[in-house]
Amino acid sequence: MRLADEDFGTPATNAREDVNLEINGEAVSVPAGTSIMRAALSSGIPIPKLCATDSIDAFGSCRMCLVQIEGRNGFVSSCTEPVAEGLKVTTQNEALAKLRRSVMELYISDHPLDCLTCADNGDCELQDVAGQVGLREVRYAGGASHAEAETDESNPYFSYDPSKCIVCSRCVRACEEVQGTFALTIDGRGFASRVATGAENFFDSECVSCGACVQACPTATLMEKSVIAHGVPDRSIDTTCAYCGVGCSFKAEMKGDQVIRMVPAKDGKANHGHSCVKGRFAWGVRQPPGTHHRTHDPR
Amino acid sequence: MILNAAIARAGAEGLLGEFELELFVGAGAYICGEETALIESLEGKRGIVRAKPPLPAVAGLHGQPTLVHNVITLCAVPWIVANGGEAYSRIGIGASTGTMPFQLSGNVKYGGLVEVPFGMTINQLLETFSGGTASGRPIKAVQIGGPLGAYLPPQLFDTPLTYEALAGVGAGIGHGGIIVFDDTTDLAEQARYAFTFCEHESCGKCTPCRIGSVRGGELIDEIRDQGAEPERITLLHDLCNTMRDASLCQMGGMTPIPVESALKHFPRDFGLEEI
Repeated sequence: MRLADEDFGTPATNAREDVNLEINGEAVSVPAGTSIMRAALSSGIPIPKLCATDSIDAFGSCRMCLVQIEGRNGFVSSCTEPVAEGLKVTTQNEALAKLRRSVMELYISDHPLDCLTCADNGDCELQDVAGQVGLREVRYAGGASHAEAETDESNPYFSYDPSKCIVCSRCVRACEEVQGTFALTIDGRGFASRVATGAENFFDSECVSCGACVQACPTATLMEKSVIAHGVPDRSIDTTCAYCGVGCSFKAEMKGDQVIRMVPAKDGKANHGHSCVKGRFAWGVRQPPGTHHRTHDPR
Repeated sequence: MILNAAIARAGAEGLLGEFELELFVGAGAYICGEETALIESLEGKRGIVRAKPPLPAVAGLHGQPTLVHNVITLCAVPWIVANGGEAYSRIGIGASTGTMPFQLSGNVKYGGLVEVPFGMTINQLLETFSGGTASGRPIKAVQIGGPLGAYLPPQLFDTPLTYEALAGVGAGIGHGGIIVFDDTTDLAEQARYAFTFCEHESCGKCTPCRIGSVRGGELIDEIRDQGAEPERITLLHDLCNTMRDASLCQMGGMTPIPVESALKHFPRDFGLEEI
């Protein structure tokens, strides 16, 4: 069971006037400026995606969301292409299926195949999309990889494992667009590209541990240590963070009666899916280990 | 230095009118020749490609409408302004109007830059200006239009150097570079070089180019070392199609051109029979 909110890929627009188009022969009407991806996903038409998530602007790097538009040559990334009146869009045909599978084959040629023991097992977008596009084999024989890249465990709340990174830049963009801290960048170029901070590791960097990057990461590259320790949560309770007066809405993601992680609610009126380190990670104070209950016995 | 001195002189002579010219020296990345990566670089950022739309003409440098032109285009403007567009369009042939500065290099006796009207054949250009190969050996191939241009065999040297005619043989005029190779060249090695080049110059943003360039190089190594088994050739074609159709920009999109043209025209170099 997935606890994540529905993700329409790109942010909503504020436009008032609607645009009419056809997606796979279905009439769709959405506000002007909406991406083809959002138009499709919000109409129940699936489009695979990896680098797009609706908390940040479209980026167009993963190439999984390619579609075809009647009268236009080639393939268009649906996340970066806005709707236009009368467009006729095809999201699925043999050519698109083959392209997506081939791109996924490239991704997996540089990704560990340890899904069964991975902390994100069952909650991983790369895994989902590999299934969605029907990847059945990886024909590339070994070769260069990031399998040996070292995990950065310096942050007390989450780890960064570059060997699982698909370089979608969602973390970098979340840090810029959601949190506004600009602590992350992509270091290197081409195949060597990896997420990096301005310092030796996350802990010594400008990072404020807001967790926006961890939330944005589609793989187990940036992962809450509590999930690594306990597994993916199986139910969620809506709650409000009690740390300060802002009143951020959270989903307390649980296993049994144990909180596994606190995830800021996308529809939270005060925080719109954002959080600070206290609500996101420093909730251990609310649930001390053993029988010691701080609110009852404030030692 | 030379350009800055020229700009200063032109300014001092009053030749620039109301225009201001400022020279911005990039850090040397090939990808920063791509217009959106160039704009990122001008903004002081990493040279990575932006998705379009918006086109730079709508939102470019610092989000403002920006026109990006090659120096070749800008150089054509004064002549067109002085002599008129109609006079310019009478130079060249078909839809390929005007002139093109071709850069002859590689295995030639006389390399260098020659500006000629569009329409000369490859043979005419080579015979008129190159003086043959520097090695004195027969020409095996030319690569036209830069490191991501097609390799063409001598049977196609009567192709006119125009956009249309080159497109007809799966090639492009690109930046007008023409590199000559003699008969000692291994075109499979040149195909390997195309992937090596892409691997080195890829900005790393999109997956087909970032990972595809590396896998392509490894695959050609395998083909050269272990044989051109049908599965390897199929995978190479699949990879080329993926890079061509799914890459974010023409860096990854055009890397298959030298690879596929080498494979098509020089299959023996890959250990394959002539098709």
